[in-house]
Amino acid sequence: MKIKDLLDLLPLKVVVNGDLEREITGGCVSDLLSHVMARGKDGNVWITIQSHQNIVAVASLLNFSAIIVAGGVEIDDKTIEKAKKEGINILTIDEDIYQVAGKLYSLGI
Amino acid sequence: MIGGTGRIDNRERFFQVESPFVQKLASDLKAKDVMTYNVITLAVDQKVKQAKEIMRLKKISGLPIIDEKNRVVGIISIDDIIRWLEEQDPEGEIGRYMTRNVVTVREDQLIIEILKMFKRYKYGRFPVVNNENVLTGIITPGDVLIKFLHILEEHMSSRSPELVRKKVKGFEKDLKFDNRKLVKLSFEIEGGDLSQAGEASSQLKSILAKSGRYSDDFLRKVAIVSYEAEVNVVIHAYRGVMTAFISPDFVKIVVADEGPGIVDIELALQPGWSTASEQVRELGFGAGMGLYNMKRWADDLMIESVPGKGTIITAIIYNRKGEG
Repeated sequence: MKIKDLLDLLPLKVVVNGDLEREITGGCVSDLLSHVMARGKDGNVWITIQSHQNIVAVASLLNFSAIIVAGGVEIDDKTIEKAKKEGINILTIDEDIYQVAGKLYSLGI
Repeated sequence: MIGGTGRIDNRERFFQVESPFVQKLASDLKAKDVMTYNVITLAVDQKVKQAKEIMRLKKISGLPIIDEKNRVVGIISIDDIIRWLEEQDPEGEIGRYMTRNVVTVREDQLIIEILKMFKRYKYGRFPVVNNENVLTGIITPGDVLIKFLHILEEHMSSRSPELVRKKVKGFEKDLKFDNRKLVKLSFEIEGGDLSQAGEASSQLKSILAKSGRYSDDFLRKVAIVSYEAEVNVVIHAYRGVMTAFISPDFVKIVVADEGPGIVDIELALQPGWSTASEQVRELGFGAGMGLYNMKRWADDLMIESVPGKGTIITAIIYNRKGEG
């Protein structure tokens, strides 16, 4: 499944459009950056409530297909700026991490 | 020497010298190049309480005790002070409490030998003496590390025009290898600037990725190790330099910082152990996974650290064919 397909299935808002054609290889859920560094894989979507600019560095280093910032958290301007520069997809959603992860899982991701 | 795939598991290898640069330094330098010259000393008939006050005010943890001819007859350290406190002997003289079997080093003794002695004896300092056995200085592991850091900094600023605070633009296309030479890239890391954390490792990864020589698995390992080392400097140190030595077969990452150092490396390697502040943790850092992640993903990891002075982390990742 591609990121753009996800947009039709969940009430996601595209905050930064890096490359919506990216293929999703799996998912990763954590707010601790080092845990994400240790476990995240190429092409994963990462669900978190962190919204500061360091999430872009982590997503870029691990080549994530998107960051989903859940729980209705607002994204910092600096994060948006950096994500645009790095071509990282950032999506937001009002639902909590638990619900988002559950839905993605049931979609086969 | 580059090679060996053993991983650091404890502080036994604290002072093990493997990097060729460090090895050369340690063999070129002598005690007199590194030691502190102005040594505070006391005599056997002075009071322990004086020693205690000096140690407290000067923030030092040991004082050499000398005779009238400036020869070392003992040393008084925190352990001796504790013994004196336990005896409840406020007017006690140093002669009664000092340690008499003092290990000294000579002025012209090589740093590499002295480092090995620190490892063997586990003392925090050695008095330095001349040929007449007269005290001329004192040396601690911290003195050695600071000297190394200074030389490393000079070495980098004089030898690598590509030392960058700005972007390493245009370097990608120059990542061509001469088989005998490593491509060297250095990045300055500013302590405390969380917004920049990950910049250096992102640049390193993109340069490596653009060369098209490396497997995805290798790039991921380099990304994790360099990111964690960089974040450690940002969170804990005042400043640092990350240098990557790049060859087609491996990347060696050396991150040297000036900072508080690591008091107990073995403990710091435990997953979940962290000294990061609450503020840093709220941003999702300081999970205590940094060194653990480095140990897990690097093929070889060496940590040299002196509390109060700084830390040098050296990690090697091999680009193994058929992986990824």
